[in-house]
Amino acid sequence: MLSRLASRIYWLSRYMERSGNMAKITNAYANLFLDLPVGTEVGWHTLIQINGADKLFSKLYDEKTEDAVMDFLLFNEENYGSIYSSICFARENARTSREILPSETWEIINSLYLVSKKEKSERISKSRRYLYLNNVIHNVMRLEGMLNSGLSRNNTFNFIQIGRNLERADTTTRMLDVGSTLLTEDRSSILRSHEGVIWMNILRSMNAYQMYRQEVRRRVVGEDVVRFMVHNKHFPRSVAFCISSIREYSMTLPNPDEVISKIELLESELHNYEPEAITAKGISIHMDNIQKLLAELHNSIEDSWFNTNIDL
Amino acid sequence: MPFGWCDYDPGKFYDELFAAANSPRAASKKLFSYLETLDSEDVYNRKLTAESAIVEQGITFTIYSDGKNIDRAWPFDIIPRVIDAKDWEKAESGLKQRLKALNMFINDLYNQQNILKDGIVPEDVIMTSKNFRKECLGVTPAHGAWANICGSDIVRDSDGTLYVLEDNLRVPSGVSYMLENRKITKKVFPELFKGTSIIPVDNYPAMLFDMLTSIAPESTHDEPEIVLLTPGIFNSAYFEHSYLAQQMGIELVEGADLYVGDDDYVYMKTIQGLDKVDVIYRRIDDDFIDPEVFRKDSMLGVPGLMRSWKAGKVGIANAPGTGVADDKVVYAYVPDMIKYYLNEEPEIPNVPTYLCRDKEQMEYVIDHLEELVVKPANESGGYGMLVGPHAKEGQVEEFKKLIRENPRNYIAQPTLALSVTPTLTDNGFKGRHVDLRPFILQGEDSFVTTGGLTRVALVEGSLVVNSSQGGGSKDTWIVE
Repeated sequence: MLSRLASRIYWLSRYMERSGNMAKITNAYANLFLDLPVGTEVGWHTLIQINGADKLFSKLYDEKTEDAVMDFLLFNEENYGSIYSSICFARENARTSREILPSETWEIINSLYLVSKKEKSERISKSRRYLYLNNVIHNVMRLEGMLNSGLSRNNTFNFIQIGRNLERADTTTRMLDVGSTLLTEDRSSILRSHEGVIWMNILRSMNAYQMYRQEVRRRVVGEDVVRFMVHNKHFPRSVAFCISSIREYSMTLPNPDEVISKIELLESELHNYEPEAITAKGISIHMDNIQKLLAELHNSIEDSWFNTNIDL
Repeated sequence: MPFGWCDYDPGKFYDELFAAANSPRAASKKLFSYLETLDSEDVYNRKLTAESAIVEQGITFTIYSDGKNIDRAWPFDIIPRVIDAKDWEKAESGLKQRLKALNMFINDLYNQQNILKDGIVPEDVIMTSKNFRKECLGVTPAHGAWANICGSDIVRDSDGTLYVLEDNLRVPSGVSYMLENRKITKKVFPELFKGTSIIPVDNYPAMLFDMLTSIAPESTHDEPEIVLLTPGIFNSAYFEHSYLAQQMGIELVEGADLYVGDDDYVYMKTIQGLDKVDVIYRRIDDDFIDPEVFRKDSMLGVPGLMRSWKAGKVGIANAPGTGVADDKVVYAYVPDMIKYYLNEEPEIPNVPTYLCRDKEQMEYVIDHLEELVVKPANESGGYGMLVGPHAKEGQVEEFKKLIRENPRNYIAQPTLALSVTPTLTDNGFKGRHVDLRPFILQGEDSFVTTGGLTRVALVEGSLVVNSSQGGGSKDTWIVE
């Protein structure tokens, strides 16, 4: 398999996963907002902070209004993390790898792009925004299902899986980081008293609430959520599950040693962590560590398979 | 009379299907008697079948407009153009003869240059050709074949004679449409294929693959690694690049996927590491293939490719430098080449050509611009041409100036009365002008496609068949 194609497939998968995650987070956050009492220090701008995009945002907009934040996160092209940007990038990658993917891949991504372009030009209302975000989420699911049933278990499939799982693990840690940031000791007591609501919405943003409830039968608290979302071996969006998937698919590719050694670092970070009675700060540090290791894992994937070493 | 045929009138032109009004040629009798059984609704339903097949099969061509690429559905006419197999046999042999001579000519130019020394082709014509590449001097590619893939445009004049109008020797395109047109026609008229012996066309990808295999360097083991090098998705022929790569089961690569090592071998970058490449079917012009040698700003090519090719470590089709024979001034000398190298008479004639580099001929051209077709020597796709009888105001004056400024760069030919063939329009069947582009391969062996791509000018009276300018295409049947 050509390195260029492998890289395009990997990014195609990452960008699609990213656009779906972004849509879920936005929906869950809009929901959380309705549950928190007026006057807490959480606002629409918190969504910008989650994405680490304060600087870019204040360059592009004057005020942190709901409309401005939504426009920034959903449609702004200068924001490479916006849903629209992710879909455009996914589409460019799909366009140039059409010959190795089932034809529905292009159809799904292209139709999602066309819908997004239309919504972008029409400045949509709140209720339609909800429908649009659901449309994004459903199309990402549709693509995943179609590829699962329509693509041979070949290298293309391996890179789809690796891209998706890496993006998923990354989103999960970022969401947990948000939860812990909202609950650090320097926050107001009103906000901290809503700990349960906050964690529930975070679980929802990862489609995890139901499965969590089946597993954990007490009041929702941070350490349980972290245990479930990071360490649980059976839930497909947990970090541990994603990493073990990446390991599985990497093993079938040529020269996986570098990548496997990075996966082992991640595994030992997870293994050595004990979430009992941990502070919000502790969660945050743990998430940072995992994110750094995920970035290293990504680099080793690029080095091993995309940037072919040309020293003979 | 059945639908559409009662007022069918090819006028003064040679008709590909009819010898005279209501009297089909022998090879098209079955087609015509079948079409006679269809009524108007049937016919237009078949047209719909064709249109949906085109969308389903995703057959598109790309036009560049406002800096954006637009994929357009391929314009297709359902009525096939039929050629008698006996006629085609002659054309086939003439095309092989022509390409053989052209390849001997190119090899001669880059080596002994006997044809120049013997004064058959004037030396200054070659030395002033922008497609003569000094970097290729001294090279003899496998089997002496430089132009491995040639798309020659053939036209028929009012007396039925076939002429070669031009030879496309650089990166000719269109063959994928020839193959797809046949698939569509099989869906539209499946009944016809049962009762008629229409010679299949679908062995082309296999023949192309065999030809490419035959130009692999000698050191290569039994299964050479062959790739198709495309300039990428923004190229108007990207559909064809991707199609042929799929059909042959070879990798479709871009310049950045390839790498030339210090050992002068070409490698492609894969997830396993570097994989040696033995043959490159390139669909990029000479100017862009190697920034070390040609255009330095080319992002499409592969640095070092020329080095590798000259060292005999990779086969390239078509070979760099082949374009020198694509020059329309050189075209005028092809009949002489055939006599010179093969000691044979040309089996398919050239269209009579005036060379403006000759003072007398130039004066004749300038005095008769209203009736001639003038072409620049090194353009393709119908650009920069003057069609005298259809010239717009001021164009004739403009061309007088252009020709006097650079006579070497212009040739002129009489305006041919191109043949017509029945084509479905909104008002039933009408005669429309056509040409034919067969594809000729030469490696270890020679091969000619069965027929080729028939291009049709869909606009009444128009002679322009290019798809970017209102042309379409139709299936071409060679019938036994």
